[in-house]
Formats: sequence, structure tokens, C-alpha cells
Amino acid sequence: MLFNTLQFALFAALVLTITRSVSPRLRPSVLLWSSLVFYALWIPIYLLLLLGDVAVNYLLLRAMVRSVRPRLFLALAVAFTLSVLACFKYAVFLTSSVTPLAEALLAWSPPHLDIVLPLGISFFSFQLLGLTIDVYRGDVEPPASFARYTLFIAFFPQLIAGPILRGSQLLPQLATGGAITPDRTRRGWWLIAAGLAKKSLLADFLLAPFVDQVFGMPGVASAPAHLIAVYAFAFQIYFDFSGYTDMARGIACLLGFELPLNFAEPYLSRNPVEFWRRWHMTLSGWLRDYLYIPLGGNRRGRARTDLNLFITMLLGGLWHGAAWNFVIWGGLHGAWLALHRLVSGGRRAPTGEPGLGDLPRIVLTFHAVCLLWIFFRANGFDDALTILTVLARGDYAHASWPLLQLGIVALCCTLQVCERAIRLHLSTVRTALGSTWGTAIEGALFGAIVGLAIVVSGAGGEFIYFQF
Amino acid sequence: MKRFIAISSFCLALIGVIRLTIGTLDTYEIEHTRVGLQAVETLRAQLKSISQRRAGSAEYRVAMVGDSMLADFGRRRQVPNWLQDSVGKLNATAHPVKVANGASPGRNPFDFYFLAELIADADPNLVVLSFNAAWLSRDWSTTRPLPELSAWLSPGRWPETLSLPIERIGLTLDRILLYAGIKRVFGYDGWLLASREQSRLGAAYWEATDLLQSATARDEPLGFKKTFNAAFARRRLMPGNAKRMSIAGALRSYGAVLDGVGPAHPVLRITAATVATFRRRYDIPVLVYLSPLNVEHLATLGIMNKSGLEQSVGSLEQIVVTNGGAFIDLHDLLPDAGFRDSFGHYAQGPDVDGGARIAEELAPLVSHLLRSG
Repeated sequence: MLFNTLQFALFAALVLTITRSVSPRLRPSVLLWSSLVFYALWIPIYLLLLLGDVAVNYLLLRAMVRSVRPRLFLALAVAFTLSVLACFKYAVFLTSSVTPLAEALLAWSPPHLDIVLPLGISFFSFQLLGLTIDVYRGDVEPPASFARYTLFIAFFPQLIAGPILRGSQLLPQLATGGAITPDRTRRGWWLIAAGLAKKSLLADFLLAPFVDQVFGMPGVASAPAHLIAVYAFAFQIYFDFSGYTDMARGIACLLGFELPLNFAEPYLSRNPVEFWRRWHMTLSGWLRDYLYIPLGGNRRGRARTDLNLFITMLLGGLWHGAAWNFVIWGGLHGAWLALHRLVSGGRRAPTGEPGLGDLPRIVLTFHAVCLLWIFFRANGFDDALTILTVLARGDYAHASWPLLQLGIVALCCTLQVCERAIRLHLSTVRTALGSTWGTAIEGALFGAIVGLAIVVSGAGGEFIYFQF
Repeated sequence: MKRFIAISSFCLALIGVIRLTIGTLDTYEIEHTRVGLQAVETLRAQLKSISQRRAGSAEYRVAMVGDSMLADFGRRRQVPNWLQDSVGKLNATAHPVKVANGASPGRNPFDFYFLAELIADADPNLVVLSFNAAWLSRDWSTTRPLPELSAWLSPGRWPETLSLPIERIGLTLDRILLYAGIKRVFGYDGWLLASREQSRLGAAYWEATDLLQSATARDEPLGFKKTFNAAFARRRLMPGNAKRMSIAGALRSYGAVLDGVGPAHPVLRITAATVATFRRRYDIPVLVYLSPLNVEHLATLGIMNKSGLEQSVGSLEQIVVTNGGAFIDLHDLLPDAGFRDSFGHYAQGPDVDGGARIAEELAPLVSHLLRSG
């Protein structure tokens, strides 16, 4: 169920009404059942998979806590969760990858698999793993009950597309049943409105059609059109994913819970390290804490650090999808991070908000990110190469420029800057909207955004990150 | 007070935007584009001829369903007309035969599954399903999915439906509940209105994207979308012969069939469920025939894979027969001259008449199935 659909609006209205009318003590139960219904409303049979995955992990977690050999149960939990993920997400990729080799060497074709990817499996698998590792490390107390554990994994606002939560972020809130306050509710509505605008108006309506056309038939349009399409995709995926996350955070706010920020204007980053601190922050943090640091992080010399970065990003790419283009995309990001370390001589990345003087570095980083997005979006490696060739050899001086799309990309750049300004000056904005007129404008703006989202949703528009 | 102001202004803005949009759609006379939305009305009208029979009449009634291969609108005589004559001749006894054409262009196997009850309501003695081989290759998520038609599924069929690959057309339980809820609360008219308005918005969306993508000059005077559409059409058709597919086009339409598909193919699973619904739920015999495809042209293109095609045909036969239906394979019935366009619609001329040839092949089996009940 997409957040920007009528059926979700009906579902959410029902859940909100019940949740806000019961005592905080009962809220976790209401939310648990709502979350299970939410997942079952997609393909009901897959609820069994989710519950099975959660149940086995819970049993292993309990055994780990009680055992004198917790490492064994940790290994079992990791192996089990990764096996489920591999079966449902990577089996088709693996068989299709080995088929040519098997046919050539063994004259045998592996069976053709037709598996529907369970919704959000990559997200809840990582959340399961993260919690088990945190409990093993003693960073967090194990959940008080199976119901609490299940709700932590299946909490419906973040179940299918994140943010990927840590035990320390949600479990304490679940223990108290959340806190519904006027301020949080108001923020929740604004996050939902912002998310709807990003997802339905910007990503689906203004950006997706042009991107789909150019990437669908690379080489047909002019070089400037390819260039603008690459920029447009960079913003499409950003608004699509960050819009969804905003809606998830907004719904959680209405229910009385806080979910962490997942994006902090990533295209205003000054280098790749900063980009990964601002893009899909909960995944980046997960990869850092549960993969990069256990691999040795930067503690074992330059060569090993570069290798660790490369492996982490390669697997991060594979997390995004079971296809070679994602592996290549991840590997290239790893190589870029290693190259950046080499060039910067190991200096610490700048902290704090960037200023006007950082513009050249921001532009450079943005273009490098866009270049790598080509491998992410193209339908295969050949298509990616075609696009790169057109971009490299194209005639920019005499070919026509898609001015309207260029304008839309410029608007997206401006919005990225505005987003940062609003985030940094949120209290001022809220005060300005505190008057009677401000309230009326606030309500009308939200109504207009919802209305426009309903209107443009008539044509559908899938959520890109559902496929992960 | 502030809450009241906020909610009032929210509602006013929301209603204002939606009314403005609908007003714009009306002003620019934007019509909905999804022909399948009329599937229910059309099918009811098409099957009227067999559903309104005289009491005590001994006539045999056949409902034929399929896509444009069967519909063949604009032609003087279509397969059902030919079939009615052919079976009538074979069956020259006390039973007159009436064949209704329940086909529409663009219809797909999911539609027949959703509308099985509607077809069964006409109480035919036999359902004949024209199976288009291209259905096995089509990406249903990007063609004409009509998940709204799932509103016609009775709740008793929901559990079976949820076990089928309906997610291929974007249908999930929440949408089934939504469409069924709209139909139950607002009736058929409410369902149609909601679907039409949604489709009109979709049409407006595409008009708007046309506009958005046409801001080009000089070397792409058609605008991006039309440039792409033209390029796409060029790739699909043979250079210099717009009536035949290119290799790329043929592979797009028949690639999966030629590679060979198994019984677990999503479209075959839906077809199997459709046959089983007619046969077991309503006790109506079903005949499925694989409509002719231009094998001669596929061979000329050098992409004909006989063993793969046989495997696909075998899989189709298997799922039909195991679910109690009858099957006949007509894929190689017509020569190249028997097809009139690149989509593989049949030619109708003095030398080869595709529709008549199909009817001739079907008539004995149809006659047998009608007699054996």
C-alpha cells in the first residue's frame, strides 16, 4: 500500500482514530495489529514470511542472551536472516548469472525462478540484524516481549522503506506508548505534506516521465537531453525516496513517535564522505557500524581501509538490488571514496554547514554523484555505456536543449537549498505561521498540496525504493 | 479556534484544487483512455443476444471471449459469425446455435478471470477463449492493467485470487478491498464514475507530460515524447514494410513464447484459474484455442524456435486440460498472406480468410462439446 493512495488514507485515518483514542498503554497493541494488517494488505501470504523471520530471530536472540556462547547464536541469527534475504532477493539474480556458465560447461540450465520480492525485505532484514548485533554488543536491552520485538520490526510507517531503525531509537518510545503532542502532530502533518509534494508532484509528475523516456531508449535524444535526464534522475530518486521517508516520519509523528532523519540535502555535499553522511543516513550508518567497522574500518592501514570501503560500498550497492548495475554502482562509489581519501591525504572531512565558498566542491561532487547514478538507473551496462558515450561525444553547441526540463532541474536545485534553509530555521518559520492568518495559510497550503497529490496520483507512479 | 481555521482552510483548498482540476478536464474535453473500463457494459451488451433466450428454447449458446484477434471490429464478418454458421451446418438438428462475440481490443487474461461471473451470468453452454500468444510476452505492468475490474470478484473468490500472480498488474489485497468497497457502497455507477475520473486524470497527466516533453526546438520538432514514440515504432516494424514486425518487435511480442514457457508462467496461471472457474464453479465447458501467429514471418526473420514454441503450446494445453477445459492449437494455421498487419490481425480476402479458417477448424470441436454438454 503506497502512502499516496486513497486506500492508505482510509487505513491511516482508522488507525490514527483508534490510536489517539486509546491509552498509551494500549497503543503498542493497536499498532502491532495495524502493522500486521498493513503488511497483509499487500500479499497476505508474505505476512507468514515476515512473522517467521521475526519469530526465528526472536528465538535466537533469547537464546543468545541466555547462552554462555552468545557468539554462536549471533552467527546463527545472521546466517538465517541473510539466507532468507538471499533466497527471496538474490536467488533469481544468482541463477540467471550462473546460467550461461552452467549451460556452457555442464550443458545444464538451472531452473527458471519466478519469485516475487517480499515488500521491504531488505529493510526489515537489516533492522533484524542490527538489533541482534546491538543486543550482543550490549548497546541495547533485548525487547521485553515477542510482541514488542515484532512491533519494532513491523512498525508500519517504516516497515517497507525505512528509515532503518536501531533498537535505541524506537524501543524506548514503544515502551511508553509514544507521546502525542500538538507540536508533534503539527510537524507530522507538515512532513506528510512535504513528502506528498516531493513524491507525487516532483518525482512522479515533473521528473519521472522525461527520465523514463530518455533512459528507456538511450541514444535517441540529443546529448543535452541525456544530460538533463541524468540530473533529473538524480532529483527524481532523491524526491521519491526522501518524500516517502518524510511521509513515514510524519505518520509516526501523528502516532506519537519520532523516526530519525534519513536525508539531509545530500546534493549540497562537498565530497563523497559527506554525501554518504547525508544520503540514506540510516543505511549509511548501518553499513558503517555493522560492516565497515567490523571489517577493520580505518584501523589497519591505508590499503586495508580502502579495501574495507570498497567492500562496504559494493555490498551496499548489492543491497539496493539484485543486479549487476547495482553492484557496479556500489563498487564505483567505493572506488570514489578510496580515491577521495588518497587525494585528501586522510584529512578529516569538513563538518558544519557549507557556505557559498564551497560551491565549486558542491558542484563537482554533485556531478560525480550524477555520473554514478547512470549505472544505477540504466537498463543494463550497455545502456549505461551508451548514455556515457552520448554525454562524452555529444554536440552541445548546436543541439536543442530541453529548456522546460532544464527549468525543472533548476527548480529542484533551488528546492534543495530551500530545504536546508527551512531545516536550519524551522523555529522562525513556525513562529511566522503562528498567527491566525498564518494558520489559515498553513491549512490552505497543506490542502492544496494534498489536492494536487490526489490529482496527479491518478496516473499512478510506483515508489522506486520498493524494489529494494 | 485556530484548529477550526486550519481545518476549514485545508478543506477549502483541497476541494478547490480538485474542483479546479475536474473543471479543467471538462473544459478541455479530456476523455478517459482506458477502453477496458467499458468492459462490463460492453460484455453485458455483447452477451445479451445469448442471455435473453426464449423460455424452453433448445438453442445452444456460445460465448466467445478474446482480444482484438477475435474482435476484429470493422470487418464484415468476424470469427464468431463464421463459427455460428459452421457449427450450425454441422449441427443441423433441433438445436440452433448462437455465438456471441465478447471480445474487445486490448483485453487480457486477467479481465476474463475478473469477469468470469459476468460471463457465467449469461448462462452460455460453452465459453470459447481465444488465447493470444503475445500475452505470454507482454509486460502487464506497463500495458493495460485494469485492476479495477477486480470489483467483480465475489468475496468467495478472493482467497483463490490472492494466491494468483495478481501483483503483476499491480493488484494487491488493499486495492481489491477498495474497488469492491466502492462498488458495494456506491454501486456500479459509483465504481464507473470513480474509475473514469481516475482515468481522465491519467489522460490529463499524459497530456501534461506531452506538453512538458515538447519544449524542444530545432532538431526535435516533434517534441521528445513523439520523437521517442516514432523511434519506438520504427524499431518495432520492418524497414520498408509497415505490415510486418522487425526482429526487435517480434521478440517483444513473441520472445517468451519462442523461448518456451512453463505452466507456472503468470499468464498461464491466470488462464488456468479462469478455466477452472468456468468448469468447476459454474459447470460451463470451456474451449481454449491458441490463435494463429505468423510463424512463416518469424522463420523469415530467423528467430523461429520450434522446440521453445512447442514447449509453450504444451504448457498452455496442460493447464487447460488439467483444469477440465478443451484445447486446440491453431498457431500455424495461416500462411504469411493470412495476416493483414504487424500485430498479426487476420487478413480477409478472396484467397485467405483468417476468420473463416479459424471457424472451420473450431466448428467440429465446438459442435462436439455442445452436444456432449
